[in-house]
Amino acid sequence: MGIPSQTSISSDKNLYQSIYNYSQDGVLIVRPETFQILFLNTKQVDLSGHEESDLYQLSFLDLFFDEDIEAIKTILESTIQWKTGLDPLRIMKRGSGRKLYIEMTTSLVNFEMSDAIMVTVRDISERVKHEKKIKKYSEQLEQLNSELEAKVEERTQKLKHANDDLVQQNTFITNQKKEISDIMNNIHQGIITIAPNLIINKEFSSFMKVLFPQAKIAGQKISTFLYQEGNEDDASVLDEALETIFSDPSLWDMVEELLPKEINIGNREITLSWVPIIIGEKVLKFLLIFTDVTEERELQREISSQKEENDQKVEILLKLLKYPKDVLNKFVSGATKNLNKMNIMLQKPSWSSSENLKELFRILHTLKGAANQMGLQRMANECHLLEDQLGLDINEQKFLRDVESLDKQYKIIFNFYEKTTNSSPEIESSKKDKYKTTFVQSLLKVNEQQELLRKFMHLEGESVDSIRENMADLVDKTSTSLGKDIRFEFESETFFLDKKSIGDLNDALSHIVRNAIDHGIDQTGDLKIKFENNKYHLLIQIIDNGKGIDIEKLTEKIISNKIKTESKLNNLAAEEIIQYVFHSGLSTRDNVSDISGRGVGLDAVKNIIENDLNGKVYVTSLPNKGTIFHIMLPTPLAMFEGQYLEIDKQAKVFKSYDTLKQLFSNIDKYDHFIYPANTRFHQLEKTTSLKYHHLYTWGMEVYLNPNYQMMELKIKDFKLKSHYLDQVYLYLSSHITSSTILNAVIETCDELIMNAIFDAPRNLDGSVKYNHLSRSKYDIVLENHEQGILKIGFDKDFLAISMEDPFGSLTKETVVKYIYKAIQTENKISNESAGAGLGLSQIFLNSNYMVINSCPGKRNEMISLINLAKTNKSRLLNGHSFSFFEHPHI
Amino acid sequence: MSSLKVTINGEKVELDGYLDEKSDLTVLKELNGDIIVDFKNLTRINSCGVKEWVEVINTGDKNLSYDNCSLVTVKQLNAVPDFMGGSRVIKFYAPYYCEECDEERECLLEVANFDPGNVPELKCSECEHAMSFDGVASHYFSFLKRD
Repeated sequence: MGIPSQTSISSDKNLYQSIYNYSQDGVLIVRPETFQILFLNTKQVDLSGHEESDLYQLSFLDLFFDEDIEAIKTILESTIQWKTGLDPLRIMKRGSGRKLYIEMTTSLVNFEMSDAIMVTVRDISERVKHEKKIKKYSEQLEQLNSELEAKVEERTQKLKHANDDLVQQNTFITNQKKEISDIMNNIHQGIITIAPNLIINKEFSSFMKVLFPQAKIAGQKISTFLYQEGNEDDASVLDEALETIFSDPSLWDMVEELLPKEINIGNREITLSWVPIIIGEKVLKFLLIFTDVTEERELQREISSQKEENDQKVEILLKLLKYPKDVLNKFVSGATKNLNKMNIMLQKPSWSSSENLKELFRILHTLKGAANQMGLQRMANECHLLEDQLGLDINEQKFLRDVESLDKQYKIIFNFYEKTTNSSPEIESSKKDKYKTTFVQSLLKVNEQQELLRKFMHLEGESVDSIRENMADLVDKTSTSLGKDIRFEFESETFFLDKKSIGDLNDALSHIVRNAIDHGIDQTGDLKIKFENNKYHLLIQIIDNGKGIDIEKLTEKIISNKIKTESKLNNLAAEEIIQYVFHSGLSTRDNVSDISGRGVGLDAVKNIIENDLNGKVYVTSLPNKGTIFHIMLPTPLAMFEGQYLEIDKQAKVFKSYDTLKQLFSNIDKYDHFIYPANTRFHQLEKTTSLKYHHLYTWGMEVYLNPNYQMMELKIKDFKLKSHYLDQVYLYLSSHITSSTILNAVIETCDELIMNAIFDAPRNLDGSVKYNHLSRSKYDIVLENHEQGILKIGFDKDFLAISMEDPFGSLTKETVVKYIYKAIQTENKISNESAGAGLGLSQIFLNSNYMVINSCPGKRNEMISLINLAKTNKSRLLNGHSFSFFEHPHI
Repeated sequence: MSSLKVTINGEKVELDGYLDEKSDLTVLKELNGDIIVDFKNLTRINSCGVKEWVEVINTGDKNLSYDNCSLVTVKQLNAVPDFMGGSRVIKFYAPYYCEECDEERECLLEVANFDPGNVPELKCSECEHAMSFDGVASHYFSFLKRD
């Protein structure tokens, strides 16, 4: 093997000794064929951990561990081939057996006249140690980084969610602000808010600019704004009063009287209403409402001045003036309308047809009632005499003459009224109604304005006290006229209703009160009117302890007047038959009087309550114990609060599919919930919210108009399912033409029947009875006490299907679970029972509105309502709503 | 007695009647390979029928195509994704309304030529007046997104 001259080293041991003896690296000369160590320097002796003499006895390979021997040989061989070599990391075995990390470089040299390999050994133990540490640190760093990344990711997600929530909240707040802004722009009252530093905030209603066209409003101190120079004392009292309330809201009752209630701007009279907006225990701001009452006050003054003048002139009209202006307005407005209507009817050639006579009867009866109530006895008598003439043998000429006489008498009253008020009541009230409606509608959109609405009702409404006065007066007059001794009691807190409702209620209650005194109570007795105004509706009871409704006599009348056959009446319970007192033309009284007794009064009551006031009325009665008329009305506040998510602690109204998740996770908190498909709080939801307060707890009938049609089937035998469905189809196909709706009904009935037979029944211990059985293999026949009742009913707007079972096994958790399933897209089919677990979802998707009434362990009622809209599209656009009501009693 | 008549004609299977708990689908369970199911005369489906159907289509090795899907079939395709499984829809009926006749109509649409974003205007077969699609398109055609 030739050695290039530039790398050849011609040396001997001494020469190497002299050159490398003090090297920092170990140096060895090794014979490649035998691995014999020919030379080593002092450093190498040191690194090897052997005695120098021993080292010369060892093979170079002995300095390494067995597993590295082959690698060492390879390095040496490659050095022979390539003249140099490098092994960056190797472990050398020290004499003690310990490991030494080395870096090894090799060169081919000439030693003692033959080829040898010079090995330079560098101790890199420290470097390796550091590298290991660095590697360990790197790994730790990598782990920390990865944990940090996870934390950053988690944090980013949290921030994203927080951001999403914020965006949602911002959208909500933006919408709210817009709606509030709409009100503030349109309301005919000045509204400002006052900050804790007593400065007027920048948002105020546009009407403020009408009331104060010249003034600077926003940014002004409220006391400076209200009081001009020279009124420093008043301003200072106001400042102190507001500061006191801002710092301690509990002092409101004491301090309120110090706040000004009225101011004058030029010749305008303005009332002020102060409303603290309290959040938690802090007053956030004050709402101040300015109402211009100038015209109303002027009118009041004018009336009172003319009243004095006319009191002395016309004795009969004194009676009219005993009544408040609104009552007079109401009387004149109603009487004018009714007389006009009657006169228009009388101009038609067919005015004496039996249908028209019925209508004339209603008009005269209402006029008579109103006149009686106003103390206009003569007018009431004339109406009564006219009523007497109405019949098949009517003397048309005489009747027309007597109507003319009635007209003349009324004209005296009307002329007086006109002079007194110098304005047309109809025009005024219609303007006010329009204004009021707009205002209430705009308020209905806003969540945070309850207080404002209450304030509005207070300002624009009329106190129920006026009904108290009217009824007390009516009882007094009626009982005196009939020579009876009646103890009258009126129980109600003071609250406000809109004036139309007060007027309508006065009419309805007058009929009932006259009826009770004339029919119910013999000579002496008690009559009580009780108002209960909870947040959601107004409940009214008119209670007498008279002889009660004579059900036998009523039954006879129903049959003789051909309203219902005897056989059909036999299927009705007594309490159902009693409801016929509201039927047109029915009365159990043999002799009619001018007080009541023709039945038409209660017919009118039902009309007023259901059509004018959108309420419900029914009667309960016990022989010789008395009679109670029950009236339930939605109040404006009831409709208003229905817009809220939370009705109270027990009930909730839900608005979107998202909140269904909330409902599902908080299901234990609620006995009742309402889940409207869209934000429109339509009639069905209103009915449901009324239902919530116990009066109409069960039955699909409450959702249908009174003239609904209905069929009913007892569900007993699963083999007969197709027969039941055929019956439903036959019944409906003559009334409903839409095949889509018919199909939805049949599908719904199908599921309800399977539910009633397989899912509802329970054993005595509450375990399922048939739910585990295959629907395709078992034809279950239910015992009599297990059977369900399927009802199908409809009116012109809605079709209702209900299934009632006597088990009450359907829980709210199950309802929510399956409805939630219906609106999801995955994992629908159940393997938990022998059924598909899709029935409830299918019913929900076929319904526009689903209601479940449940008395756990005792009774369930599932109601499906389908909108009978003309097209499938409009029906579907109504969405799917559902409600669940848990009742303690069946 | 089965509430459903199943007729097999080569690759094609016709369903006639109600798909419910009494439907006998044994013969269909045993079929494998390419199958075209004609739903034209399937007029009612209840929840048990859905369960039975899903079991059938998941039995064996079937490559199903749904043809002439009736309105009730489309209703289930939309409500229960498993009812469709991995099948392909060829044609389906859609609800239309003719204002002139004041009648609901069912019109057959072909998936290959149909754009859910552009529901076709069709003429009434009785009076020739234009009819409007009588449903909520975003919902009614949602099964096509899974096709």
